Amino acid sequence: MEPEVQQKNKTDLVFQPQLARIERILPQISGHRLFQLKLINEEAAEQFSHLCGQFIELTVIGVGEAPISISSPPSRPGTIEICVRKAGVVTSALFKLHPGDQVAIRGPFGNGFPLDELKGKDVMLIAGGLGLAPLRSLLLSILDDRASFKDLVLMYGSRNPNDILFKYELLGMMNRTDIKYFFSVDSDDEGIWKQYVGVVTGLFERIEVNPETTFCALCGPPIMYRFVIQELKKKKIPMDQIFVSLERMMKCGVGKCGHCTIGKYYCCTDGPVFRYSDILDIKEAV
Amino acid sequence: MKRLKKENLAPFLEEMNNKRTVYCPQSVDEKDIILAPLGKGKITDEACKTSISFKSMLFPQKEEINNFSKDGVEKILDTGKTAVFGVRACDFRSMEFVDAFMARNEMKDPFYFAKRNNILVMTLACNCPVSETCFCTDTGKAPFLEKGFDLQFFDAGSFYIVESQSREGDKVLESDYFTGSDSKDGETLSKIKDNSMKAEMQAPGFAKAVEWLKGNEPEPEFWDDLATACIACGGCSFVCPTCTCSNIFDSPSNGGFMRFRTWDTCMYEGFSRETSGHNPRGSLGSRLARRYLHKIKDDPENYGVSGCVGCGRCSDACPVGLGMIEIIKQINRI
Ligand SMILES: Cc1cc2nc3c(=O)[nH]c(=O)nc-3n(C[C@H](O)[C@H](O)[C@H](O)COP(=O)(O)OP(=O)(O)OC[C@H]3O[C@@H](n4cnc5c(N)ncnc54)[C@H](O)[C@@H]3O)c2cc1C
Ligand code: SF4
Ligand code: SF4
Ligand code: FES
Repeated sequence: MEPEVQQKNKTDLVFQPQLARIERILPQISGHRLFQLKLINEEAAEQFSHLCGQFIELTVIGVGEAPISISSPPSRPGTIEICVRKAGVVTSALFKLHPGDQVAIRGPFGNGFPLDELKGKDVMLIAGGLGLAPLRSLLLSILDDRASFKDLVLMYGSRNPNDILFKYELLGMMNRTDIKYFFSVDSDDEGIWKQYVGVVTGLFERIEVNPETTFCALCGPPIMYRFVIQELKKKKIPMDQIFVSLERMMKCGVGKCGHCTIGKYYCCTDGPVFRYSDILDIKEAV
Repeated sequence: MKRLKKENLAPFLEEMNNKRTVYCPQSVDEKDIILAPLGKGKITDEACKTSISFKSMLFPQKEEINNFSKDGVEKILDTGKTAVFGVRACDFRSMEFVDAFMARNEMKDPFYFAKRNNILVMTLACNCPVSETCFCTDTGKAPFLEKGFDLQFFDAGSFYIVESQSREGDKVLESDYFTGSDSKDGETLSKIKDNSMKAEMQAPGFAKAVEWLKGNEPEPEFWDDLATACIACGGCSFVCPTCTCSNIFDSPSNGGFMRFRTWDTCMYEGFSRETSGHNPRGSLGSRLARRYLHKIKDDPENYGVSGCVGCGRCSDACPVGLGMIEIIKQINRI
């Protein structure tokens, strides 16, 4: 067999971490922080472009790597924003770093949400907890090009009123008339919450949708998907108009290590965003 | 077509070893046959099944992939020239499968292809099954190759009949150890091929199971039942020439850090467990289903070729009598 010529570009980046600097760290709710990253190599920084819903493999140097969604929208290039929960070894090590410190990133990886397909449609974003991280990228993309989309709805469920991510950013948009917000909290021990208390699915009683023109994007904890999809079925939204972003254990992010498989799909390359009709029949999917 | 006397195999490989690091099956302590660089033991000149296939040359059990130093992050590409002799048809097909897998989505695995582009593969056809667990013919393939190889050797008793299908192969045949073929060699070759196809092999019913799986799937209980025997040792994956699951981890080295890639297996409980504790394949039954089903159901759909080449290694390795042969038999009983 003739030797193959090594392919440039895409292949070159597959396992090539690039150094990045932490520009700013913005505290979010307890245990969550927003990190603003910038690639150190200027050319690489300029070339970096992503789609909403894509993720990076983030290396805390000397500790390890973890897949993290890009929270900033493609329409605001230059800085890569990630919202991270302190969960285990790599993420805890990240929380010990300061602005100016270096990390390394690979990516962006994954397919992302089909923004073009959503244009001219009503869009419903449904997030639970940290599921807002990838959906924020989509939300801001839509807001940055608002005229291209019809009605926009955000439903966001948190554990309690102190657990709302991007709270001030969301509050700042509250007086916009071109987006409808619905928030829920699972519980409100302090009695400070004036909106809906209960799981996010309870919010569906409050909305009217046109099933023909409504497209949904959803991301949240594993338990959320099945219940939300039931509600969407009740609203008669076709299964091929529902997009779910799924989490899996990932190591390589580029379809090689096998950790993230969902049936015949690889979550890291075929996903993390799936059209629900494509994975309906896969038992282990949601 | 050329000939190589069996007594000239060792000197020929030694000669090649000056240019490339040559691996071949060798017997150590008169007992185990292992695939190793020349000089480990006695060269085995007949077709045989090494416990680990030559996938370990292209996708090692452990390899360094990135070096993190003060100067930045480097990819470590091993481009040393290698050659391997004695690769059976099934193992060669496993490499073709892994080639396709490692090049998916325009994202070629750099570490795999660095080695792959620098290996010369010399296959040795099987005249008869080399072990009780061989079932390549049951997968619809032959114990020899029709195309795609550089050099293919056939065992004709005291000598090999050697075919080349590439420029690289032609160059090797220029060595003085090879002699011209006899007019009868073509006939001998046809006979060897015919006989090898007629040789009796394990016939678990591969084609029937694969066909049934196209529209059906065993119930979870089927796998849970089998899982009562499985001890999740992962042996079936490690020995499988088409299994390529890996783990990645970082470790201090020379004042910096080294990133390693190692073999991993979907049979382990932690393989798919997320930090939250959520595990989409928490049950052993679901992992057994994954390990065996994707080879014969998903892989053909994804890559157009079977993910199982019928080498039987998983059946050899499994300490509790599972392995592909048993799984296929069980599927055919549903
Ligand atoms: C597509 C995708 C997007 C994600 N986006 C975000 C995000 O925006 N913000 C965020 O905080 N978290 C996100 N996560 C989850 C995050 O990857 C895990 O919380 C993180 O890997 C935990 O790493 P750790 O080292 O701190 O945990 P540990 O449990 O100590 O280590 C587990 C190790 O396993 C590996 N791993 C890979 N994928 C996972 C996974 N899904 N769950 C657990 N371990 C994993 C990593 O190498 C990790 O270091 C995302 C996961 C995926 C798959
Ligand atoms: S699944 Fe078993 S028989 Fe098939 S290629 Fe792998 S080790 Fe060989
Ligand atoms: S070799 Fe056998 S016991 Fe071990 S994981 Fe595979 S099927 Fe289970
Ligand atoms: S993360 Fe490695 S294959 Fe998907």
